[in-house]
Amino acid sequence: MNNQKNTSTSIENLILTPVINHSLILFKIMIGVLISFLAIRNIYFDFIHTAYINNTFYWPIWPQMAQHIPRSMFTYLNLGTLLFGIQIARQKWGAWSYFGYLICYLPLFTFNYTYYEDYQLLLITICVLLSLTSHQKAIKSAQIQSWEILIFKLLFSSILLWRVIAYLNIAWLSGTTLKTVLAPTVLKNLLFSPSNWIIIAISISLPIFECCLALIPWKFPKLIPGLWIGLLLYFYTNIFFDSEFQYSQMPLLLFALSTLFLPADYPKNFIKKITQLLDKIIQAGKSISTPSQNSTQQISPTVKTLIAVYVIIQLIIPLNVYTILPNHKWVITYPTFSWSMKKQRTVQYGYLTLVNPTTKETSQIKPPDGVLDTPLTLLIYAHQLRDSYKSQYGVTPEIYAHLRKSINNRPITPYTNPEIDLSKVNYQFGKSPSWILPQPENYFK
Amino acid sequence: MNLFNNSRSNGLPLYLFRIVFGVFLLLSSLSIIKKITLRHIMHTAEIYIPYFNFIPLPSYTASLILVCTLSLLSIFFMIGYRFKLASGLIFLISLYFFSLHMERFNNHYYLVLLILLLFTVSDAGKGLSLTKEKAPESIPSWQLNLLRFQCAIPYFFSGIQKLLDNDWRSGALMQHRLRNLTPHSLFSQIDSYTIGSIVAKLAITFDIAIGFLLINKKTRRWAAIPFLGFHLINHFIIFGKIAGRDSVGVFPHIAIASLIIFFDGDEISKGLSILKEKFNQFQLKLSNQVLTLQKSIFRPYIVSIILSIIILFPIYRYANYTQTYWKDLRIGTWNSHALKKTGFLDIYYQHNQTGEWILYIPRTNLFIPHYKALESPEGHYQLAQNLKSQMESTGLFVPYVGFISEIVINGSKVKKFQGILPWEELTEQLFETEFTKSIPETKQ
Repeated sequence: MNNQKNTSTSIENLILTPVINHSLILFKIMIGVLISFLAIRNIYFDFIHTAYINNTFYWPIWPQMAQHIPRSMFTYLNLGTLLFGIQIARQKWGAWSYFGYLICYLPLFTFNYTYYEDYQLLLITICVLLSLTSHQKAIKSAQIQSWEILIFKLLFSSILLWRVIAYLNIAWLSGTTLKTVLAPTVLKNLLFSPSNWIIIAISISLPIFECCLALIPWKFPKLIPGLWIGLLLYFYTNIFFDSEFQYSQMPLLLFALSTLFLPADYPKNFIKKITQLLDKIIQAGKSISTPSQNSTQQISPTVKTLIAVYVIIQLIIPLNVYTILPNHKWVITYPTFSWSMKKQRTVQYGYLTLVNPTTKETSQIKPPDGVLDTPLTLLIYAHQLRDSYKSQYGVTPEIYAHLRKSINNRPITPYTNPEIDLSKVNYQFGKSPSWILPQPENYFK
Repeated sequence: MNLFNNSRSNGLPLYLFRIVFGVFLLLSSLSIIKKITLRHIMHTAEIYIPYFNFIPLPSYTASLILVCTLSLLSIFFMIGYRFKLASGLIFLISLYFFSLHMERFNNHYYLVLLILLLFTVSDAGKGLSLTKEKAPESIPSWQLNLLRFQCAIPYFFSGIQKLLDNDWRSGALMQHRLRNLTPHSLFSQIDSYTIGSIVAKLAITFDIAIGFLLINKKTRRWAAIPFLGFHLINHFIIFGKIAGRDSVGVFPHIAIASLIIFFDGDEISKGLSILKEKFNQFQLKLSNQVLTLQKSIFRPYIVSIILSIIILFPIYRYANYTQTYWKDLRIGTWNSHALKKTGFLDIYYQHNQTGEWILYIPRTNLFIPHYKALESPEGHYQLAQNLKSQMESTGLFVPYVGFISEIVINGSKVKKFQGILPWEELTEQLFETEFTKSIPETKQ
C-alpha cells in the first residue's frame, strides 16, 4: 500500500513539479518562426497558385472536406497560417493562435496526399500539444508543470524510435534500399564510392545512431549541441539525402524538440553568452575608437605611390571597352574587366565542323557554354580541338565555325565566317578577328 | 574620403569584414569541394582556356588538394591566424583558378580577387583574432578607404555603362528580365514597357550614386536601406529561382557584407550596444523565481491520453497484416527513407475521332504531384480517375484506358502493369496484383 502511494507520489512529482518556462517559450518562438517561414516560402515559390489553384491532379486521402473549399480560398488560408505563425512567435493570443493555425493549415494539409510530408504531420502534432500547455500572458515569473516539457521529450524519442523500427527490414539492413537512395549522388562520388560492405555498415549504423539520438539526451543532455552541430554539417553537405534538408523541415523540427532536453534556463545562459560576445566586440571597438591626439603617422612615399597606381589602374581599366573596343557590343575580344554587369542578353547557337583533309570525313561539335562568348575563346577552343584531333588521327583537321547570335532580342544573325579555317588562323592583338563577320548595318539602331 | 591622408582610424569595421569574408570564403570552398567530389564540374573542367599559355594546367587531384588548402586557409583568415600569409596564399590560389578559365570571366570573382589583394596588404588580422597578439590602437585610414573605394567602383562603372547603352536606358532589356517573373501570380502584370523603363532608370541612378552616398558620412545610413533592398531584390526576385534563374551568384552576399566597411568603428559599436541592450532587456524578463503551482491533474491526464494516441499511432502500419510494401503509404511512420519506391507510369487514352492512342503523362516529364501516384495502387487509381474527370470536363470520352507501369521497391522490380481496360473495370484492387494485356499502338 505504501509502495503504491510512493509510486503515485513520485509520478505526480515527475509530471507536476513546477519548472521555469524559458526553454518552452523559446521552443514556441522557434515553432512560430518556422510556421511563418513555411507560409512565406509558399508565397515566394507561388506554391499555393501552382499546387492548389491551378493544379489538376489531386488525391484526397482524408475526409474530402478540403475539396469543397473554393480554390481561391487557399491563398487566404496560407496568409492565415502566416498571421498565426507570427502570433505564435510573438507569444500572443495564447491557445487561440494554435487553434487558428490548425484551422488554416488542416485544409492545406488534407487537400492532396501528393504533398504529404512527415514534417507536416509532426508540425500539426506539436501545435495540438502546444495548445494544451500553459499560456501565461507575461513570461516574467511564469512557471509551468514539468509534464509540459516532458510530453515533447517523449514525442522526440518516440519519433526517432519509430524511425529505427522502420529501418528494421531486410531490404534496408542488407543495404539494398540505401544503394537505391544513394545511386544518383554518392555512388558517382570520386572520393567516396563505397563498396557494398560500407553501404551495409552505414545501413546498420544509421538506426543505431538514431536510437542513440533518441535515448542519450535523457541521460546526457549536454551532448545535444555537439550532436546537432554534427547533424547540421551532415545535412549541409547533403552527401546522403540531398533533398531532406532542402525540402523537408524534419531536421529543424527535431532540432527544436531536442532543445527541450537542455536545462530549462538555457535561454538565459545562451543570451548571457551572446551579450558577453557583443560586449567583447564593443570593448575591442572602444579601445581603438579614440586614437590619441598625435595619431597621425606619415604614409611613406612608396605606399602613397602604390596607392596612386592602384587607384589609377582601377579607374582606367574599365574604360577599355570605349577606347580600344568601340564595337564591343558586337565583338568582345576578351574579358573586359569593366564591371559591365548584366548589360547584354546574348543568345548564341551553332556548331563547329571538323573536316579530315585526307578522307574528307566531317564531324560536328557543339562547343560548351562560355566558349562562344568571345572570338578569342572560340579560337583557343578550336586550336585545342585541332591538337587533340591531330594526336588522335595524325592529321591536322580543317575547322569551320557556323555560329549565329542575337543580342538583346534582335534578329538572329550569322556571326562567324564559315569559310575561314580556324585551325590555320592566329589571334593578333589590336586587329579585328577575320573569322568574325562584320556587324550588320543598323543592327543596334 | 582622402586616400592619401595620414590619419588613423578605428579598425573594427575591417576586422569584422575580415571575419564575415572569411566565412564566405570557407563556405565557397566547401561547396566547390562538394561539386568536385560529386563530379558536377568535371565535364566543363576538362576544357581550359587560360589567359597565358605558360600557366600549368592542374590534374583532378591537384585541384582537389588546392581547394582543400583553400578551406583550411579560410579558417586561418577568419580567425586572424598568420593572416597576411593566409590571405596572400588564398589570393594566389584563387588567381590561379581564375587565370585558367578566360571563358568563364566573372565580375564577382574578379572583385573577390581585388578585395583579397587589399586584405593582404592591410592589418585586418590584428584585431578580433584568436591569436594572443594585442590589437593595435588604430589602423592607417587608407586601408579602410581603399577597400571602400574598391567596393564602390563596380557600381559606378556599371551604372555609366548602362547609361550609355540604348537597350538598357530605354528599359527594353529590363522589360525582358521582368517578363521571366510573369508566371508568378504576384508579378503577372509586370510585363510592361513603362515598368521596365522605370525600373531601368532607377537601377542606373542607384548604380551611379550609391558609391558616393555610402562613402559620405552624412548619407550613408539612409543609403544603406536602398543598398540592402537592391541586393535582396536582385538575389531573391530578379535573378532568383522564381525568375527561373539560379541566383546572381555570390555578389549580393559580398556586397551586403561590404556594408560593414562603409561605417566607422564608432557607429558599429553604437549599433552593437543597442543590440546588446535589447538582449539585456529580454534577459531581465526571464525570471528564475519558481513558485509553487496548484497541482491540477486534470490537464496532464487529458494530454497523456492524446500523447499516447500520437505515440502509438504508427502501430497501425505494423498491426495490419495484409499491408505490403506496395500498398504502404507510410503516413505517420516518420520515416520515408526506409522504403524507396521508384518506377514509371504511363497512361494512354484513345482519341474518340482518330482512334489513336495518346500518352497522357509522358514518363520523361513526371510533374511532382504525380510522383506519389507511382507509390501505391491507390495512387494509380486516383491518377486514372483524374484523367477520366479531365476528359469528361472537355467533352472527350473514350470507353477504354491503357496502362504501362513498372514499380521498383528497394531496388527490385516487383510489379508490372500493361494493358487496355474498360473504365468500368478500373478499381483500386486491380492494381494490387500484376496484370498484362495487349498493348495498344501509341502516339506521343
